Amino acid sequence: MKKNKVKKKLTELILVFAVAVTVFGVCKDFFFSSQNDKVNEYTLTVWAYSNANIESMKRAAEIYSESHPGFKIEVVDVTETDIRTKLTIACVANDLSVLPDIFLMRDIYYPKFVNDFPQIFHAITDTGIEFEKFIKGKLNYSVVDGENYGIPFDNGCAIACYRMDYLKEAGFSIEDLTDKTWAEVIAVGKKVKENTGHPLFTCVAGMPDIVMTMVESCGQSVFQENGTVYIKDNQELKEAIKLYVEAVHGGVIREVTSYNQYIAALNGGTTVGTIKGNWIMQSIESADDQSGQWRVTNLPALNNSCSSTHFALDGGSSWAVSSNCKNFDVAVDFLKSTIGTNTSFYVDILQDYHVVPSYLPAYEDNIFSQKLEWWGNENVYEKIGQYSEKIPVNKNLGAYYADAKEAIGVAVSNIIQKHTDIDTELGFAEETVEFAMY
Amino acid sequence: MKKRNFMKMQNVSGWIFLSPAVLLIIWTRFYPMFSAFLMSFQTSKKGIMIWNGMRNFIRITKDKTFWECMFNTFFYLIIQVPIMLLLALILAVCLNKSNLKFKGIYRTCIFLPCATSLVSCSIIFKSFFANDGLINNILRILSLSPIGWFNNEWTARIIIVIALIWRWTGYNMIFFLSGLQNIDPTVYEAVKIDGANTLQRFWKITVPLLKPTIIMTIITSTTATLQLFDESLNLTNGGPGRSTMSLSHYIYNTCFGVSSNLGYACAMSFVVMSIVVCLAIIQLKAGDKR
Repeated sequence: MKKNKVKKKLTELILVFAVAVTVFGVCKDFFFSSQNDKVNEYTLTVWAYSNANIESMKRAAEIYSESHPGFKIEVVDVTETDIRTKLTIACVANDLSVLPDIFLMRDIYYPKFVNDFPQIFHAITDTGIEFEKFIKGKLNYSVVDGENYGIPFDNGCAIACYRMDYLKEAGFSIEDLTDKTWAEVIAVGKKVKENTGHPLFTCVAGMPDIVMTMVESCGQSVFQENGTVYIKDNQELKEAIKLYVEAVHGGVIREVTSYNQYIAALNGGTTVGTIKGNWIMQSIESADDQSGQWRVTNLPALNNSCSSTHFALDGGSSWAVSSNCKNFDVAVDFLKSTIGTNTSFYVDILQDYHVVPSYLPAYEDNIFSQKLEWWGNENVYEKIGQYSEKIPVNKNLGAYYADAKEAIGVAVSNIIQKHTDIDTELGFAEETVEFAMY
Repeated sequence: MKKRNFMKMQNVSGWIFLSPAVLLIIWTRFYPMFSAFLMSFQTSKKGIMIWNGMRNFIRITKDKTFWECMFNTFFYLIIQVPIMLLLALILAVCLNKSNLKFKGIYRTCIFLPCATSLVSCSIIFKSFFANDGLINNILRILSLSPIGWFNNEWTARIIIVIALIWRWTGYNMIFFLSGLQNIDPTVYEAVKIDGANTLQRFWKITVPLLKPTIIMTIITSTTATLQLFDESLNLTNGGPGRSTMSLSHYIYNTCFGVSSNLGYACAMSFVVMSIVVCLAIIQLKAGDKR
């Protein structure tokens, strides 16, 4: 009986203690936060996604703090979609105090967010950052109405990667896939499929990345200069989708349902190659047994017309300074003296995290011309640098570019899966985007 | 006089004890609902909400994606709920047999899916039905041609239905079991003497006596299916195209996706809510014949 009572008391005590700890935990921030702010006046909060970006930012802070004692950054790992969700919620809740000082955002979302939520950004136009030294095609995304909202970071230049052992088995060399058009590449792909049983490319179903690179490599947009949607009557887009559908039905492109399956196809050897932003190289390199087998080359062009090139963007991101930044000058100076000018910083992050820069002067360093054993003793980084300078500038981006991309993705999967008519689907896609714009 | 005062005091103290909970519910539930209702008449211009009248609701009538998602959601509802409830009922009747051994183990096993997170359940189903997944590998072993489960709209929808049934049958079975335990065994003895066979006992005794539980499970599963979100997002991500996207998934995308339009998303939520309320009222009325 007595034992029970003691037990009961003990449980009560533990419960009270637990409640007290919780209450203290909740209130602690409330009581001590103002004090904390004063002590770390130089601490910048950064939201970033993916390990390479986070570590690069930390490295940049290390370099900057050498000349600026007391400077610190706190990098918070937030996923790419969560960054956008958090920004949206902060705006709608009308509480911008939750924003960090600097955040990383994918290039394609800049036009949208600057247009919808201009209050989250702090323009960095006339801050001495030499924007003309970055890849023009990429920089363009974070420029809205002549104002710069982001400083370009990683290089999003799309590349085509192929496995030489499979190509050789089918009797082809890398030259058969370099400087070619899509029609020619599809013809090669069909033979490769016949001889090796593997598709030339693998990609994620519903993601129109390849179709968009085809269109953008011609300098074409899915919007017109006056801002109206240009999907239904867009000849380049139509041609691109036709080629893509032909490739899928001919077994040249295999569609998988998730990104994990896509990476599994690359590393597991069930695909001959891929077309993606050059950041995919990190994932390809993770399969140790395939060292020396892969080669990098440029994209197939849409057709033989003079406007179509072999270069386009796919992914990539830029750093933005938020309007909540209390030390705007410090933040800008930090970005300018690391990402904006420091070549040795880019050498560091290339070596350690394989981040390929969009800052063009960095390519003058010898490290970029090194021949990589993994990529068949080729100077792939230099190659990428050369490709990125030739990426056509997409002049008509518009705030609804990401919506258009999504609608095109739906149209493409419907055409492939339901065998619907291309014109009807594109008409529907155009309607969807117009609907979102209204 | 004194008694009345005492009653009054008890009333007051009762309310005082209730008030923290009531205030919390008002603050965390009803206040957001109310502001969402206001927001459904607003739209965002450069990040600031302005009044928009009935335009959000008119917009719903013209939104093809909304109706496509509505079709998907009702497809899940009409196919999944009856199958799941019938299965749950049969399982409950089987497990309610007094002479069955290891009852506890069976019940735990059938209830266990319910304890898994929706996201992990979706991920596991996704890997099962992947192009090189377990199911396709089994098909290959049986020398059948593998199926691109997520590449076809109908197979993708059916996978969602299967995942839902797997996840929720055990949950509803528990309700039926507790309902069955409330049925007096003497009733069964009586019909046995009257010569009713197993099927007759099931349809004539078990089902009518379980009616309150059945109606309750129908209403909860209808509401849950209309709010289906995790499976649509994690299992198929709405694809191929938008052919498996549920209404909640579309609302979420409208809120936090590429084109964020909170006012419109709120308006759609209220349309879904009214449908849920209507269905619940119909089901209650249809089931209540007292």
